[in-house]
Amino acid sequence: MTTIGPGATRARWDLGLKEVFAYRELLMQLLRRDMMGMLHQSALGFLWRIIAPVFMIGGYTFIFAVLGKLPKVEGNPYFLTLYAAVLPYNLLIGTLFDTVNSISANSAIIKKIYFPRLIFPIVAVINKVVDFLIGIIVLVLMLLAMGRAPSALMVAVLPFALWALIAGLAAGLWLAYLNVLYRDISIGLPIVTQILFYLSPVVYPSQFVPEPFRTLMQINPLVGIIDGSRWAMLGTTWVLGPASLVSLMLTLLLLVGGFIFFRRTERVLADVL
Amino acid sequence: MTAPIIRTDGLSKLFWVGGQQPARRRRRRRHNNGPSLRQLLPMLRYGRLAEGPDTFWALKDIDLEVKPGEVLGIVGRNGSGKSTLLKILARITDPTEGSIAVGGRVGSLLEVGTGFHPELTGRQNIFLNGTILGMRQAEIGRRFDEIVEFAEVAKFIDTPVKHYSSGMYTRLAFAVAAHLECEIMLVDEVLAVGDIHFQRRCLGKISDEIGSGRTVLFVSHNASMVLQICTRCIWLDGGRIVAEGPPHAVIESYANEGIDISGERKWSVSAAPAFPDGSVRLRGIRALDRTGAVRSAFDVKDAFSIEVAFDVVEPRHALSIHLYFRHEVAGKLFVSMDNLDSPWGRQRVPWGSYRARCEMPADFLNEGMLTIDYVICTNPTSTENVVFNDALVLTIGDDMRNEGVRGDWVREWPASMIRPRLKWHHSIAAEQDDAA
Repeated sequence: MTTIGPGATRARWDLGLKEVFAYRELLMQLLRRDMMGMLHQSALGFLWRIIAPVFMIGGYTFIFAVLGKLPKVEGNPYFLTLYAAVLPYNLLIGTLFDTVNSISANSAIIKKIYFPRLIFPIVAVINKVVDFLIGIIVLVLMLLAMGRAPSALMVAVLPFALWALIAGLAAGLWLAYLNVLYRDISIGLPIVTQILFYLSPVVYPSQFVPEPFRTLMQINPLVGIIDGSRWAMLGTTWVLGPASLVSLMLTLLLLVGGFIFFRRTERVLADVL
Repeated sequence: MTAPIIRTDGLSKLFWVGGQQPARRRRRRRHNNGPSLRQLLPMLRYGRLAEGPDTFWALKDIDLEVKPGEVLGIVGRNGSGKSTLLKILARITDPTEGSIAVGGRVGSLLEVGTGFHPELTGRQNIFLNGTILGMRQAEIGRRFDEIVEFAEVAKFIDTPVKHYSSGMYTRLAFAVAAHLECEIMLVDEVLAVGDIHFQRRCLGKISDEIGSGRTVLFVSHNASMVLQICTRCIWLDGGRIVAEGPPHAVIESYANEGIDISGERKWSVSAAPAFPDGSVRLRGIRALDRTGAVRSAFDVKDAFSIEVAFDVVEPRHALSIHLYFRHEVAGKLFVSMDNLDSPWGRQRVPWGSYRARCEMPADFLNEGMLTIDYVICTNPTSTENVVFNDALVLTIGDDMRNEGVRGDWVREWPASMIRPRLKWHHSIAAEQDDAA
């Protein structure tokens, strides 16, 4: 006999990950739905995952390198410097957006069928990881085309990618259910991420920022993630200080809190959907 | 006594309904009816909603036991808590108080086609939807052909479902859900979709499942469906169980709610329903037992009669009296006309006040609530008429004594519209036919 009682009686630390594993087939099906859905609806299909960032890079390169005449940074052309930042940035922001939207977008299913709701954010995360991996392949191809052999150091991008993932997921878990209640979140979030975009060294290298702002900025996890990724992918100098460690710790705390908050809200807010 | 497969214990559910507070207390008008941040915080902190002006109890203190193999019908008006009960059993939402113990895999058919993706093909959607409903891939693979066959979409199985007709779409969706392998199945009104033909097949499918020993909880507004497939029924009202028992008894009291049972109705001259030209008016209708007393309750074994009264104010028309007999659950039963026995036939009925009596034989009706519509129209075509619906409402009961059609049978008589006495002839076959 399974006993179902009020949600409040469940242990605070019970994240239900075991249950998520039990539902892994569903996870695969939902992932397939999201990926195939995109494939079926567009003529270019998977190519969009490459085209979108390429146009973004092209635009910024034109503005900052051609018009703004930004110099090469440590021997890397501007578009590479930019690309190495856009990859983890998109991973983080994409994960954040998809996690936040995953609950409201699937509310029809949530209202009718039970399964661990954590599956939706996880599907969103995996989807973004695929984007990221495609991006890495494109980067390697670009480097090869430029006559540069990718170094073994590139593997070191993985922990930074993981960090980006965690940060995006953590923020998303906090906001996912609130987004159902307050649409202010889906309206305000693009504005906030736009601000973050300029507060992070995406279109410019960190070295351009004078102290003490440079250290201060490192509280923002995007700074550590981007600088770390550049270091790994392009072989630039290591610029991260202890402030980045603090930032990492904060991210992890945010993640744990996010999981607990998500589990809490999923029971309370299920009725408000 | 077998152990229950579902047991609820003081099950209660508090819901949020926005906008219940008076306007002055919501001076800072927000344009959603959700809880404000200040109301939300304690909710998140304590993991439950606090009772207040913006909440209501959708379910209150539900104690229920369901035995394996039972088919429990749940009836009640909109908002009575039926769906909430299923949602808690399906684990979509938690109870606020109390608990449920469930002894098996629960499949929910609260909606057909949940999670269908229009761009995916029928085949892909079967797997997607099946998985969402809780089936294993292997299980779906095993029953795939059965599902396709039931849905009658074999030709289009590799077509994206967005190109399906709504009928095909519904059939496929139901087919997936119907093939769910589970011990307990929750069904909520899903049969209200599709054409009659398909509804019948769905019903057949559900009946098959019942035959296979599955426990089913069935929420429906369709009383005859509940009567056909359920073994027990509960009636929810205001979040509480107000009646529980054999389906026909519960359905009857549910249907009776708000209806006056009456064995007699009279109209004064000024209030009488009449022909548009005013030449004929209805004066009364009543149900009489054998001794001539007015009664509203009869037994299946009783003969009784319906007596109507009417006035002919101007002798303008030949008349025909019709009585429409309706069973509250099953719908139209039959219509009786006085044509064969009318003394006037196609002649004009002269001026005067008249009575006509229609005899109902014993051992003919089945249990239930009988509603009678009283109609007088011109004969032989209804060029003028007067209709009074629900003129009489009678209950037909069964005291279970071994008389009448029942004979020695001691259990419930199977639910059906009528229970006529039909003649049977038995004989001993001279010899068994070996050729057969």
